[in-house]
Formats: sequence, structure tokens, C-alpha cells
Amino acid sequence: MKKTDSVTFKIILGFVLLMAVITVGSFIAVQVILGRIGSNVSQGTASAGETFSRHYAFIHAGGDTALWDNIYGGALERGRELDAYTEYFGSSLTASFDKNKLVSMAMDAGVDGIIIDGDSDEETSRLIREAADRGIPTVTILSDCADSARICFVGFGSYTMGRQYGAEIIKHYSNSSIDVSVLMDPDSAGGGQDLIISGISDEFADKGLRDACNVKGVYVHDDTPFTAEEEIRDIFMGRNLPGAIVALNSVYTRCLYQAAVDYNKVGDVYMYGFNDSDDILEAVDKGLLEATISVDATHMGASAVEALDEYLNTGYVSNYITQDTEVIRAGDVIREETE
Amino acid sequence: MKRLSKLIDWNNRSLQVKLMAGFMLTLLFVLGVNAFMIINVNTTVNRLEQIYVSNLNLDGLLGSLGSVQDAMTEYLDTKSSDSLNKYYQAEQDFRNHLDLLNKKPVSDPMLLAEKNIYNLSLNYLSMVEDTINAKRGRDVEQYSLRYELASERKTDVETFIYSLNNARFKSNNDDYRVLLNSLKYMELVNIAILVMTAVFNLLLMNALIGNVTRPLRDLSVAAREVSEGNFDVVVEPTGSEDEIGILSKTFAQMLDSIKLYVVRIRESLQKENAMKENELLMESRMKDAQLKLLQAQINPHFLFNTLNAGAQLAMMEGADKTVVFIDNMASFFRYNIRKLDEDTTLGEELSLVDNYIYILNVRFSGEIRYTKTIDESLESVRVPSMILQPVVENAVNYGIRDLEGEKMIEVTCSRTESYVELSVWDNGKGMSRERIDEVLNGEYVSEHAASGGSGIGLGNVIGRLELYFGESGLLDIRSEGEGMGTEVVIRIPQAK
Repeated sequence: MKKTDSVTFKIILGFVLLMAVITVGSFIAVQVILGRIGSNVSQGTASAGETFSRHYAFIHAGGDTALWDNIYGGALERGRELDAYTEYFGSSLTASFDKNKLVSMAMDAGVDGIIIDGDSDEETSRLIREAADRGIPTVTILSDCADSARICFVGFGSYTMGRQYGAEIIKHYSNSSIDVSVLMDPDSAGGGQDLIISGISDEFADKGLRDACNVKGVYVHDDTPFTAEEEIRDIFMGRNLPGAIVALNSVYTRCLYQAAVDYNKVGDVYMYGFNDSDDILEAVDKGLLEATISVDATHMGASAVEALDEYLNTGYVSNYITQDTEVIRAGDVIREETE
Repeated sequence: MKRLSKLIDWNNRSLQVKLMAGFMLTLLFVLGVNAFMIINVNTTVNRLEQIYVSNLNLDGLLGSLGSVQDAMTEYLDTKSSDSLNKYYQAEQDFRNHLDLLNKKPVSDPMLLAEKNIYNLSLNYLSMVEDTINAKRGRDVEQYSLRYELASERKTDVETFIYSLNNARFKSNNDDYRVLLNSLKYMELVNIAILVMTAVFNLLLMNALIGNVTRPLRDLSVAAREVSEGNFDVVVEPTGSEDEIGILSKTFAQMLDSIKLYVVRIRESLQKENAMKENELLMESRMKDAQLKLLQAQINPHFLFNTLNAGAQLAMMEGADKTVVFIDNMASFFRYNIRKLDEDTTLGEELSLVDNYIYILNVRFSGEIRYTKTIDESLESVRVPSMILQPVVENAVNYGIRDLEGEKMIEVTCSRTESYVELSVWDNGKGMSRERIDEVLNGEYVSEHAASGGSGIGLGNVIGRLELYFGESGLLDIRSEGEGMGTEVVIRIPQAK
């Protein structure tokens, strides 16, 4: 073959190969693009995402979003390991519904188990009973729903936590009695908040200072949005500012130290928070809060799912699963875990 | 690749096939690229159309849910069989829509929402059925209560469907945007591919047409050089068997033929020139001979007439020897006045020699002993005139004239295979080799050349023999040296 012919042949061959590469490349690119958007189009088929054998609904009344998100994260991950999908039920709905309505919907949606934060509402107890009747087990978390048909409560020891707060407050005792206000959530009344107050009192009593401490619970009403913050600010605007204030959730904690800063009361009152979100830890680090107590929310969520799984598998599960709490103090990283 | 090349056998394809293949190839590329682009764009556009299908399905689901509720309400209002039928139809339609939904727990939130909708809807349908049954049983309290519950459930289902529809719409919008972007990229890729294809097609056609025209161009250059007279131009073979390959090959062959013809023509011209040269030479020699003859003819004519008159006078006086002598003289001169360009027979040449010898013997008192040995059959052989007598005259003048004693001249005529050989021998003083060569080469000029006899020298005889027979070397002189005699041999070629 002549040289020119050979060159022509090589040109053709080269171009054919190039075209083949471009064709295959473009085809793959188109398939990748279509595959990326395909999951939403294939309605009715469960081809997109993992498939599980069980479906749990995770429902709470709202508030303390960071804490609940952590709990849900733990439940979701542990659920995956146990072949169950935990849905943050109602979170994707365009309308917002209260907790009980969501529980009712979850039952109608045929979930295999429900995880909710307990409260003292009788309707909640009734719904838990109805769920139990329909073969759907319910686990309460963080706060219990006493006398309900829930199969298990996953929480922390409120009394022990009260003792931890008491131990921290007592460090600032100086011969005169101290007033301690505990900011409580009225929705969780009867959910163990009283035990915290008892714990604080008993800690003082055990140290022989029963009369040196005057602990009272202050309900922060949040019937209408954003009123919690207003109510906490009212405390600082009043004439009788307590010697120590304990906030029992992360929202109250944030409102508490922010109000103290705004009214220039930092140092006038000892403040104790709850949860270990970044901003709260920063407040502890800056000395705005004397200490904060945190729970392992992720582990708590995981425990709730494990409880449902165990119950559905065996028909039995422990009534209470208690999580440890830890104290995080100002200015250092020392952590003290309770037994 | 070699096997592929062999299969294609490109070199041996005709020009038409090659050009057609080139055009077909480029056409196929363009068609292929277009088809590829159309398929890609079509796929994307189809997907684009399907994007909102899920929303439409959900709208359909919502519509059928409303139909169930309306049918139930109508039945509760009227309890008519029509409304009941409507309810059944609506329920079936709703169930058909529900069948399209996912029913398994999955991690995808939208598919999980479908599962929730499915179960909520089944629950709602169950409630609706209870309501219908209560109505049939005329249990007013129950069907009113269940209607409320069913309506509430319907609102729940609607909320879920709306939420899913919203989520899908949002997701579909994202998909739509992705697809639109991909379409834009596809457009760019398509343009790039088109440009590349166009460039490739240009390159390919350039290469193909170049392959076709290059030999043509070379051929035209070669043709121009040939037209300017350069036949040494080399036409490279194209290596292909197409029309141009054949043309190149034929052109090269034609060139070779032209070269051959040129050589032949040149040779032919050279021959013609040589012949013309010969003719001119012959003419010149004849002129030379004729000039000498004319010089001599003045006397021969006069002498011839005079001799005739003398012969008659001698006859009248009864002097027979004188008559014979004068007859011989007359014959000799008669022969001499013939035109030299006419040929004659060997017999006549020999007669002339006889006349000449007789005259000489009369002059010199018969001292020359002349003998001749002739094959009579050869007397009719045609020879140029005046070739033998000048040789004999030479033998007399240079050989035996001054010889003391017997002077012998012997003429022999014999036949060999290809020649008739005429030999004139004398016993005279002979010739050296150098002299022989000088005479044969025409370089020797004798002091006796212009005196007496015919005046025609050996050089003239040699020249006319060569011209007449077209062959050289027909006259040879042999002598064994001084005093050893001389033999001049003339060879007359015989036609076979």
C-alpha cells in the first residue's frame, strides 16, 4: 500500500475511533444524567433508595430542634442497621399538625412502630393505646407518658440530673440561702421535671444545707410562638432575680444566657443549661453558663429503635432504658459522667 | 489491518468506486452523527416530557380521591343505585391509581410518602365502605359519625398527596433544570461533533481527491515536459489499478514507444544521410571520371573517326595487319566513349582488355605475354564499366613497363561461393605493403596518373565498385614485395 493511502486509512481509522469514544462517552453521560433524575420519575417502583422490612414513625411535639435532630439521626442510623426505616413523620408535609394528629396519621399510614416524646396529655395515652390495639408498638423518648400503653421509655434519670445540677449550684453557696429557679416546659409536666427539682433539693440536703436552698419550678409558657423567650426575659426584668437559674432544654438555655447578656446580669445569677450544641458549649466556654448537662441524643434515638425492634421480634422489651448524662463546666473540658 | 486492507482492496477499485466510497463515507458520517444527535436529543426531550408525569399521576390520584368522596356524599344524600355505581367505579379508579404507588418502606422520602398515601388511602376507603354500609343499614348516627371520620381521613390523604406533589414538583423542577442544562451542553457537544465531522470530511475528501488528482497532476507535468521534447521524463507508477493507474501505465508505455520510434527515425535518417552522401560521392566521382573522359573524348571521337578512315584506307591498300590494328584501336576508343555510369558485361570488359593488350603489343612489339583464363559462363555477369582495363593499364604502367625480360600479364576469371573473382596478375616489379595500403586508401597519387590510357585510376575503380555493389573491400592488391609481381583481385558479389 502506498504511503498516502496508508495515511488516509489511518485518518479514517482515527476518526472512527474518536467518534466511537465520543458516542460511548455521550451515551454514558446522557445515561448518567437521566439516571440522576430517574429516581423521581419512576413512580410506583421502589427502585430508588434502600428497601427495608419495617417502617417506624418518629414524632415529637417540636422545640429543641437540635436535640431532636440528634435523636432522630441516631434512630435513623440504628434503624438502617436493623433493616428498618425511621421516618421523621410529618416533616415533609405542607401543613403542620400537632403530635397527636401525626400519631393518628402514622397509625393510618400503617407504620410498624412509633417513637414519640411522652407528655401528660390523656389524648396521647389514648392514641398510644389505640396504636397498641392496632398492633403498633410505641416507645416514648426523652419524656415519658405515664400510665400509657407504651412499650418502653428511653430517657435519662431526671432525679440524678437534678443531683448533678445541685452539686454544681452548691459550689457557689456562701452561708446565705440561695434561690434556684428551674425553667420547666409545661408540655412535659409530669415527665420527670419535678424529679429534677427534688434532686437539686436532696443534693443540698445531703450536704446539710437543706434550708440553704430554695428551689422552685417556673413553667415557661409557649402557647403562642416566641413567648418562651419573652417569659424568660421577664425573669430578668423582675425585682427578685434568683441566685441560680436552671434551663431544662436547649431553647430555654439559649434564651437564658442571651437575656442575661442583654440585661447585663451576667455574674449576678448562676446559670445552668441543658444540651451540648455548639452555641451552648461556646456560652459555657465564655463563662456565661456555669455548666451544662448533656445527654447522648444519638444513642437515645438508637436505643428507641432497638427497643421497637426487640419488641417486634420477641414481644418483650424493658420498660425503661436510661441514658447517661454528663456535666460540661465552664472554662474547661472536664466531663463527669453519672453512673 | 492487513486483512482489512486486503478485503477493501482499495488500490484495485475503480475511480468511480473510490469517489463513491469517499462520498458515501462522508455521508454516512454525517448521517450517523445526525442520527446520534437526534437520538440523544429525543431521549432527553422524552425525559423532559416525562418529568412532570409523576405530578400528573398525583393529580389523577387526587381527582379520583375526590370522586370517591363525591360519590359517597351523593349516595349518603340520595341512596340511589346510580350514586352507588358511581361510588364503585370511583373506588375502582382510585384503587387503580393507588396500585401505581410504592408500598414498601424505602429510604427515599418521596417513595416513602407514596407508601403512607397508599395505606392512608386504604384506611380511608375502609372508612368510606363502613359509611356506605351504615347508610345501607340506615344507621344514621353511625354513618354520620363515619362520614365525618372519612372526610377527616380524606383531608389527611389530600394533605399527604399535596405534600408529595409539592416535593415532586420541586424535585421535578430540579430535574427539569438539569435536563435543560444537559440539553445546552448537548447542543455544544453536538456543534463540536458537527464541526469535527465537517473538518474530518474535508480532510478525508482532500486526502481522497488528492489521491485521485496527484497522479493526474504528475501525469500533466510529464505530458507538458514531453510536449516540450523531453522524452526522458519518468512517470511514477501510481500503484493502483483504477483508471488513472491505467492511464499512467499507458502513458509510460506510450512514452517508451515514442522513444523507440525516435531512435528508429534517427537511425533511418542517419542511413538516409549516409545514402545521400554516397550518392553525392558517386556523383562526384562520376563527374570526375566524366571530366577526365571528356578531356579524353575530344581525341577519341576524332581518333575514332580518323581510325575508321584509316582502316578503310588500309583495307583499300590491302594492309591487313594495319586493318586489324586500326580495328582494335577503334574498338578500344569506341568502348572508351561510352558513358561511365552505364554498366556492362564481364565479357565486354575482357574484350576491351584484349583490345588494349593488342594495341600495346603492337606498340611495344609484342613483348607483353598476355594470357587469360576465363569461365565463359561468367561473361554475362554485369559489372560497372571500365573496371578491368584500368587495372590492366596499371599493371602495364607500374608493373611491367620497365621490366627487363618477359613481361607477363594474366587475367583470370573464376567463381567462388559468393563472388566472381577477377584477377589481374603481372610479373612486374611488385609493390610494398605500405604502397598497397596507400593505393587502397586512395592516398597514393602517381606521376603517371594523368598520362595515357583511360586515365582512370585504381581509386576511381574502387570507389565505383563500392558504389555499384554497396560493399567495400571488393578490390584487393596482393604482392609479395619488390620484383615479385602484383596481383589485383576484383570480387564481383553474386546475388543469391
